[in-house]
Amino acid sequence: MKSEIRIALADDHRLIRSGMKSILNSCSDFKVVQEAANGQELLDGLTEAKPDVILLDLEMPVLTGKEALEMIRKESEQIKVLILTMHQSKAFIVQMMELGANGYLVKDCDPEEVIAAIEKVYHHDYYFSEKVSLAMLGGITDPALKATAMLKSHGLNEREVEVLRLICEEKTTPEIGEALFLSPKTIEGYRKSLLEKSGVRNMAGLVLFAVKHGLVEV
Amino acid sequence: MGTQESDIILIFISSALITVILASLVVVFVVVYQKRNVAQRLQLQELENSRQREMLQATIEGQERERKRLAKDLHDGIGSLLSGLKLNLSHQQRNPEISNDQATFLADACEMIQESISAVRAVSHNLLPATLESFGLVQALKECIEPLQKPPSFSIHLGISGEPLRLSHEAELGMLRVVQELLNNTIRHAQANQAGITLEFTSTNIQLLYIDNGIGFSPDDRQPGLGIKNIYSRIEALGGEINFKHQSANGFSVSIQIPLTSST
Repeated sequence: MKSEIRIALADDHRLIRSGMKSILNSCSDFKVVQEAANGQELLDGLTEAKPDVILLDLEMPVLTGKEALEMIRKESEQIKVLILTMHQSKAFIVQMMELGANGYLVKDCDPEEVIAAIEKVYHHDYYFSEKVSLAMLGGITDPALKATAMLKSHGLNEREVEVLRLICEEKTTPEIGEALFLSPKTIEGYRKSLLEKSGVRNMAGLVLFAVKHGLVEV
Repeated sequence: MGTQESDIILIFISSALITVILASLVVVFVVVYQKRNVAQRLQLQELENSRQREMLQATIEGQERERKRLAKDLHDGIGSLLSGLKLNLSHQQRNPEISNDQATFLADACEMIQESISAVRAVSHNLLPATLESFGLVQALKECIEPLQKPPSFSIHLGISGEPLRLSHEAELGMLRVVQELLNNTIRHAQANQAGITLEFTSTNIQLLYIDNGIGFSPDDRQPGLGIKNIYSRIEALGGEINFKHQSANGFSVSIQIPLTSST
């Protein structure tokens, strides 16, 4: 385990930020390093605060969470962004994942879930809650979506599909290497080519890609 | 005597001619006057119609603006705050220093808050689904259909043909409300177990076909209900057409056309 995880909070309700802050700071691994009341404040403070993970609300004045996410992804793929919002509809979830969010949390979740999600995105690059998996499954049972997914064949070879399946099982690079009798370096290569071929931004996007193409069972 | 007679004839003929001309002038004048009168009345009628449509549009718009504000305040404001409250209380609940009684109290409080959050969500969604504004009519329709699906006792089929375009907010909202009203009608009165919605996007208009396999009804049979009146006024405000095709034992069917104009 690495040193503490640096966290930024962006939400327009001060009380929600302070509540969240006290919950997160009670975990010894976490440190809240930035608080922002809107997307612009968040962007302005990023260089100085250098957070590892951002908890991002969507509905904020001045600059919304969606706009802030787009700006962040223009600059960096490294910062992990965890969406924390009241919206729980599929369309919002899928859109945020496609824009490069690493995970999606609905605001009325339990504190344990927030903590688990932060650890997951930090260590595994993505987090999907039960709700989100269900939402994506719902997307696949939608005949129109299924048809487009079938139409756009995924274009991956067998090995890449294997690696992708293991990524979806939250396996790390060395673990995948062990399972497939390959070196971690080779697996890194597969991760890169997977990102290139699927045209997504991060591992969260890859999981979404896998679900959309029916390569994994949710 | 010959000249005198011919003079009389001439006078007779010319006065007859003048009379005829005068008479026809009078006739022409009356006809033109009446035509103009009719045109003027039509114009007035037209003016009155468009004024009424504008008023209808303004009323609907005002109502919807208020609904949107309420939906947003509820969802993003009260919903968010309740979620924050729940998060804090459930964090307290995990505090090892509190007594069992206190833990039970906090657990109950959290449950009540969760119920309030769900209620706020539902009310806000009924007022105006957030999906409509961000993702358009088709997505909003899917979302509004999903909770109503109760197969095999009731199922809804949604078909889309053509390229779904984003329309003006008024048009998307209008169509959504109409479908909601129709579904409402089917569920409450039709005793149907299936409903079908087809939405067709062409380059000039949007066509909505709605059918169910219930007992059917005729809007002419009886005084139209508030729901049907609402549908009419929504469509009228969008400059569209509505046809209740047939009302028989084979169920209910209605087709609606909305022209695609620069404002749609």
